[in-house]
Amino acid sequence: MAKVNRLVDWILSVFLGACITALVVIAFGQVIGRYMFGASFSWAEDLCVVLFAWTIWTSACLLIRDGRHLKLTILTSKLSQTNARRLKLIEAVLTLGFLVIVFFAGLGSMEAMVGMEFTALPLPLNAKFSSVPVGTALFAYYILRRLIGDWKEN
Amino acid sequence: MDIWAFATLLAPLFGFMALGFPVFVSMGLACVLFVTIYDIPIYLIGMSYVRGVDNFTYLAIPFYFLAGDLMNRSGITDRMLQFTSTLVGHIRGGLSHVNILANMVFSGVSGSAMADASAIGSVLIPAMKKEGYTPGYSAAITAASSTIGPIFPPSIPLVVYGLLSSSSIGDLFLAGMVPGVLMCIFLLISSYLISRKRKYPAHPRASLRQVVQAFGHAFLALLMPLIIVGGMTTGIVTPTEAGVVAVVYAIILGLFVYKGFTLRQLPGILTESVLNSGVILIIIASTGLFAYLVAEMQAGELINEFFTNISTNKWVILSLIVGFFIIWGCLLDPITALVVMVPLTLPVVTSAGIDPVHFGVVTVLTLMIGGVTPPMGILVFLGASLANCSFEEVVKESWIFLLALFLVLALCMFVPDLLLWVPNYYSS
Repeated sequence: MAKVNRLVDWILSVFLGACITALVVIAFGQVIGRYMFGASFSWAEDLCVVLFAWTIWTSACLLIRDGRHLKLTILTSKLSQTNARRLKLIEAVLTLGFLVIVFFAGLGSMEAMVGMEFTALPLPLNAKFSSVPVGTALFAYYILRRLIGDWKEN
Repeated sequence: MDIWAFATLLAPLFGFMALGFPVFVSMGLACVLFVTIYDIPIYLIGMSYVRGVDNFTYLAIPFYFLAGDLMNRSGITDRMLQFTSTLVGHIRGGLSHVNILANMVFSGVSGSAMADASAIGSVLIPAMKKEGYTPGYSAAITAASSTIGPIFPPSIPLVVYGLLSSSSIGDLFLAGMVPGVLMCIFLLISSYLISRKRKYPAHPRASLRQVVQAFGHAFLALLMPLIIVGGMTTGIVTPTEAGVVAVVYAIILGLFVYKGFTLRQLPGILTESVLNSGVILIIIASTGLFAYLVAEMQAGELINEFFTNISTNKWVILSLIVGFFIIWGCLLDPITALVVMVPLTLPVVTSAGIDPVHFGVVTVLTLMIGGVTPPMGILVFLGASLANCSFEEVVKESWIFLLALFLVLALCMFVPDLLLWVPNYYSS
């Protein structure tokens, strides 16, 4: 299992690095194209939006792995260890419930977009909308991974 | 919208946040509850996470983060400190003035208070302690002066505000210039008064040759804010394009000029930096549904009614909102405060006749001051940890700097032209 976890981490990190590199290259290419060659690529902004949606969800997954999401700790830092553990469990369960809802809502929105394409990019609109169900599924995987890790520790 | 519907949206949001749930999960859970109770189509939730950031302009956020991170790693901190030291190091309390001025100069490449405080504090606080400054004072001046970063352009919170309020990011950047300079001046005066009283040391005056030499070393880094603001105000690039130009400029400087990192390290830096911005991006993606529900349920009208019941005077309304934001700034990250509160307060502000650009700069300034205001101030905690002293020691030394910052805030609140003349001048 540890090997699978490491592989998923590696794939997501490489994918994230590739997304941000592509975003920088495309956005900078737009500026250069416009001012040096008098031409801009009509598909560039659409592609950036697709990559951006995937960047957000991929980074959200890696951030939950590292426990780096923004949260308020004024009250929780005062809890006893046992209560903090209980609260963490409740948080994980509620978050999983929320992710399931967003996952199915994401599938619903994909269904509504079937057959539609970007105006300038030969890709279906679902190239960006699919980031939501995939992202939430991966996010749930990381929550479960943390839950199993905590359970083994205790 | 009735008060109960409003409470149904906000009470779970604040409740989950208070319980320590990630902010974006709290927003999502609150919205899911609301959507379920009020029978709103559930597929809207899935769509909103894409629609919330479905705009090329939003790329400005990761780009400004990336540019700041790359500049920090390229080793510009020492060059900036050397340059500012030749300018103000000879005045009594030299290092505290260097701290303030370096934050001002550094803000032109970073745009984040935490990044500025960490980069400058980690170098200057140990040096200040060595020269006899108290740890509390060293931490307090670092925390207070790091608030300049998000006001002076480029600024990540101002970019976020611009996107949320559909205000011109270029105008917001220009409007942030005068308050940034004022904060610097007021803090310099405060630190001089304390330094003179406590007889803190001064460095020997730098010769003109040394000043020119230090300027030469930092020159290319100092060009970055000019490229960003200049490019935007002349209309050559959009705010997002200015961000990506800054990224490429920072990569070239870091790789070939300052040699702060290698090509092999670059992918790791890019990934780490996008993760730093990811903390904010997922919250902004979650704002899509929240802002939709707020608009759909006409929550702005309810808030408007609340404020106009108290007073119809725009200064009273602005003061009330600012007071509220100060409390927020003490408790929470400024970006979270912006994404939750801007959709709620903006209709009140605009209907009261307050310029959204003026309100944006005042809001970000207020949230930053909240970050150095006891009892919670997150920047005070950071300063205390950098100086290895207690939170109370920093708070004890912070009052004069807080006073200076509140004076700037009052000026910015009640004299809007002080901020707005720069964007007005450029647009005319």
